Amino acid sequence: MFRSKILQPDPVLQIGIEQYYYHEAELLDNHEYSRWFDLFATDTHYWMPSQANRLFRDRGTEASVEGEFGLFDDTKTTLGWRVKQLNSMTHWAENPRSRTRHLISNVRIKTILEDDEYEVWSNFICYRNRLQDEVDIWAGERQDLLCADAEQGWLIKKRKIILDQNVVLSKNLSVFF
Amino acid sequence: MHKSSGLSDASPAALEQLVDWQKGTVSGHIFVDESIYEKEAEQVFLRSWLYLGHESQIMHHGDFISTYMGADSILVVRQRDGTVKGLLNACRHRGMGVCRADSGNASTFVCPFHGWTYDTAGELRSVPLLKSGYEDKLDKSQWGLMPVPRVEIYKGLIFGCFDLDAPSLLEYLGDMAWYLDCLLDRTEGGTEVIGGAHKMRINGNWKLAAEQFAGDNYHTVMTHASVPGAWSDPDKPMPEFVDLMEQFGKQFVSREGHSVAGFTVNTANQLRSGIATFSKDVDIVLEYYRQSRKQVANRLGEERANGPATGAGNVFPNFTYLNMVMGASSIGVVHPHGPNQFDWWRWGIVDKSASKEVKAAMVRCLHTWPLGMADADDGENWGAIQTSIKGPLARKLMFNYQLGMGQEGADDQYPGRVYPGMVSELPQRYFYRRWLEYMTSESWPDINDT
Repeated sequence: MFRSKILQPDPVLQIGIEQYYYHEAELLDNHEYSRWFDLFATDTHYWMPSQANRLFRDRGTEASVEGEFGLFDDTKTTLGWRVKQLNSMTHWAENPRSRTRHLISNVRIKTILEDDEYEVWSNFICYRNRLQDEVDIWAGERQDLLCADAEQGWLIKKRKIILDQNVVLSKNLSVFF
Repeated sequence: MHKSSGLSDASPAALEQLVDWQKGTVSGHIFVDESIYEKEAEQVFLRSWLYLGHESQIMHHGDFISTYMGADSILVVRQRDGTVKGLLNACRHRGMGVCRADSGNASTFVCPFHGWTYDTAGELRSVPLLKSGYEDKLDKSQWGLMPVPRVEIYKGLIFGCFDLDAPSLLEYLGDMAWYLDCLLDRTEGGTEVIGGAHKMRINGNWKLAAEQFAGDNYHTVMTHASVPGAWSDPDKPMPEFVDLMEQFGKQFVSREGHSVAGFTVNTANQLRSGIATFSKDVDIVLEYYRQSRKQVANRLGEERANGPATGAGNVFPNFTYLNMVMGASSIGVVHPHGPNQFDWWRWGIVDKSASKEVKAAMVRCLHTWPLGMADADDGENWGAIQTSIKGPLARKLMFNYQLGMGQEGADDQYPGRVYPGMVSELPQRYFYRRWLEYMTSESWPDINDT
């Protein structure tokens, strides 16, 4: 009998997690940052390493590691600061508001841990259109640790975001991924 | 509207009409004009001392980092004898980059095009078809990578310069070195750079970023208005960000065009201010500053232990830093890409002797404030300025750099020319004064006055 090395998830679980991500993307694209913030566990870590070019023999070390310098390194508290900033009228980078579209795909349930925790990786493309004609496109991968939550369905305990850019080709990262 | 010449050529006569540092006016032309950018590339970036990297990034023989001097790609390589070389990252055969990693360790640099191979000193070591094709007549000693003729180090910061007539780095830094020590020489062992870098691309002119680090404390309250509001804890009083404007401090400028945008003259003020009340990480860092104060005073003297902390600064033309701002320090460089675009590279910098816990707290502070929440609005500004001054009318405007005119002078405690408050545009006026000298002189611009 064919046995895949790839985890074959329960379709209900797979669909449930995908729907959760679509809901999350909708909150971001509708600028409902406070509701988006509620999706994160109190001990969450929201981390985006920076990327560099390496020699062939150093391949695998392109991303900075935790404790080094990244593009996001937030706790629930500091993520809350960013949310409050986005909700204020004086955050000029997002006032007037940008138009964004978060596309989430390739959702892979990598491991199912004890205590109802799931390691889930997904890919994203985020399109931002700003002011008259400014366009930014960010692509990458999110490596999440989700835990089952009675109220929200899931809580994000950890998110590592791999942004596929070396020099960040946008004037800022005033959006979430 | 101010009367403007509307000139767009880069002749000295035209440039002198575009920049009047004594009146405090600067034309939009200097930020958008292609011919002015081309002249900057030759007369500013091929003459001045430019930041190449930090020694802690290349500790061992063969360690290298890639950077730019102006728009030229440069490899910075630790040599066998411990010295540092800068090499133009362009193969002498067809010009392709011989190294495309941002950092690493190498014994040779091999051009991927035809295989010309250079050692870590940039000497050409091997060439395919040397015998059959070049009949062994190729003089390899004449075809090494072009070296940066002058590389000097100031307390960990590596600078390079292409102009043989330029003064030594120490002379070039002048009074700025005294202020840089507050960043670089606080404790035994100096500083080190944290791994990982911020590299952002901004569709704006490089001088917009450089002049802001040079002197723009004025923008802080408005541009970054959303930051203190976000920090505020409903149970605790909101930090009075406007206090920054009134905080007792000064600004420093040097005749060489360097400056510190604003420093407090009593570190105790800084220790009490800001987000200390509700960020554990800032508390950790501020406690470290308190504990290390005595060592700083022993090394640098009381004046520098009391201040000048809490500062943005700029070494002309494009090395920027933030020292002890909201719990952390960072260094950066602004690489120009034509008049309308620059890349902004930044690193966290910490006292080498600080504990692991303190360093980690500093890195987290950097992520949240200067390189997280605040940066986003700076990027927005620079892009927006560039968009609006592209217009044929807007570029002719003379912009106002007159804040705090005529109040600078000598100071008993602080070297250089000093403005008696935290907020003026004195540093920007001195930045453009020096810029104009580079742009209008035939060779290295000597300073004949004080």
